Order: sequence, then structure tokens, then C-alpha cells
Amino acid sequence: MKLDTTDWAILRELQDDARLSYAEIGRRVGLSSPAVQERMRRMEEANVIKAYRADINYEAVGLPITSITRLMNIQGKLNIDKVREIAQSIPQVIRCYHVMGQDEYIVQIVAQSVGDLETILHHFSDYAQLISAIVINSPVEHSTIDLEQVPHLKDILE
Amino acid sequence: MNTLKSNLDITDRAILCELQRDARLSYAEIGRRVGLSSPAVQERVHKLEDAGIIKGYHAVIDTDKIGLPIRAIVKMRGSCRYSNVFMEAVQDIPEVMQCHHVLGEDCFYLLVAVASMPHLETLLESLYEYAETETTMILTSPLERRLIDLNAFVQES
Repeated sequence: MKLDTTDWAILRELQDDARLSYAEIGRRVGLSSPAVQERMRRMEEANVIKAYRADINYEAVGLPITSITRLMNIQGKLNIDKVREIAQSIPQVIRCYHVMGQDEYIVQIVAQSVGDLETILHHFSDYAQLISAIVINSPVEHSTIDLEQVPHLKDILE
Repeated sequence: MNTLKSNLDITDRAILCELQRDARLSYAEIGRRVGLSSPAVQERVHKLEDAGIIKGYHAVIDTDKIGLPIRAIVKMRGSCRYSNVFMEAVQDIPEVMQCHHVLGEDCFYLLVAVASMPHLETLLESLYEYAETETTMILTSPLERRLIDLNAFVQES
């Protein structure tokens, strides 16, 4: 799907505040409310917009410890299916990436305490070699993608 | 699983769950799902926003669909030179989707989305002034920012 400048303007607004009304987005980008709705519908159908998400503060809801854990395959210990199954089944595992190279999987865990983190890691430790790092802070947790504002990126893509 | 310390009641938790699933739901629709009137939902949502429990609402864009099909995790290694400077600078690098400052042998983990290998190379060159990097390509993402259902954390006894 080819996105024009107006589509990007809408995407910018929605990445910044996904709860804006069609009318308000329209005011900001210079379109009528039904025109905004139609463009959003097209971008949703083309899966350019995958979802609209509320971003919650993990610390404020009682999950103050965040770790990034690398799951490595050492001496054929790693069981891919099992690792995937465990990652899916533990609610504190919020991201899981299957990667190339020495690390087979990289997961992000949000835990209630260091003890809670230890319990979670223990589930994986029979199936992979683990290296965990505690996150001190996340300077970028959610980034607004705006190709219109990045001329060199636009050149690469065109 | 331990009981989560929280002053959110079961209805707040249900509202948080709905908004993580679809942030554009109307107050009326959320109300129908959690069994509240529309003004009652609105009041609770505002409280959750004011308390900083809801940090914001974002559209999630598929980077594949907009011409950034390659995703990688970049580990910035060793003691990061100028880590404060980097934390500022990283905000303005459009290819960086996530950046986490970590304790341990690596200092930053970045998730980047790029258009091509030369594009990745250019990006890595620009990061090199801060630290040595190690890059791993992402094959698939079995889990991408799971929704946190707080009610699942609460021990039912």
C-alpha cells in the first residue's frame, strides 16, 4: 500500500494518541471526519496499522523489575519448541524474538520482584543457557515512525 | 503466583485489559464489556491516566508494510562512552524502535527496523561513536508486547 503525506500525518497523530476522535484528527490534518475514517479503515485493512494499544506503566501496576534475557543453545541443550511454549505460557514474558546467531531467543520479562524473576528464569533454565541483564531504564519504549520527517530514509525506500 | 500488590480493583484491571487490546474502544463499548455506565468508565480511565498507570495510547505500525522489513537487535557493548549523551541522541534515531539501558556486560539493547543491509550498515556506523556493537537479526517474533492481564496475576483463593 502506497502511503501519501496525508496518510503519514494521520499515522503520526495516531501513534501519538490513538484515542483521538476522527473529527479531531480531521481538524489536525485538514480532512473531514468521514475521510479520516475511510483512510484509517484502509490502513487497518492493509495491516499498516496492526493495533491500537494502551501503554501501561509496568512499575505502577506492580511489575517493577524488567529483564532482557538471552537464551542460548549450548551443547545442544536448547529445546526450541519447549522454550517457545514456556515463553507463551508465562504472562510476565512480554516479548520474545527468535534471532540468528549465538543467542537463539531473546525475551523481555517484567517481574514483581527479583525473586519472581528468578522463578520465571528457572522455567527456562532446563532448556537453554541463560544470560540476563536488568533494565535500568528504557529511553525508547515506543517510537513514532515518521518517514515523512526523515528525508534520507525516504530516499532509501523510493 | 504471588498476589500482585495493587490498589486497582477488578474493574480497573478489566478496563486496562480492554484498552491494551484496542485503545480506540468507546467508553460506551468498554462499559458494556466490564458492566459499567459510560460516564463511570470515563472517570476510571481518567483516574488511570492521571495516576500514570496508562502512559499513552499508540497505533502499532507494521514495519514490514512500510518498507522496513529487516529487524535486528543491536547490543552496545562494554562501558558505554557518553551514555547520557547517547540516551538523548537515541530519541532522534528514527530506526530505533526500542532502547533499553541495562546492567551487565552490555550497556544498551536496541531494536531497530531498517530497509536494507546497506541501511543497517549506515546505522551501525553511526552507533559506533558511542560503543562497539553486536548485531543479531530477528527471524520471527513469537511474542510482541504481550498484553498484561492483571487479573491473571491475582491469586484466586
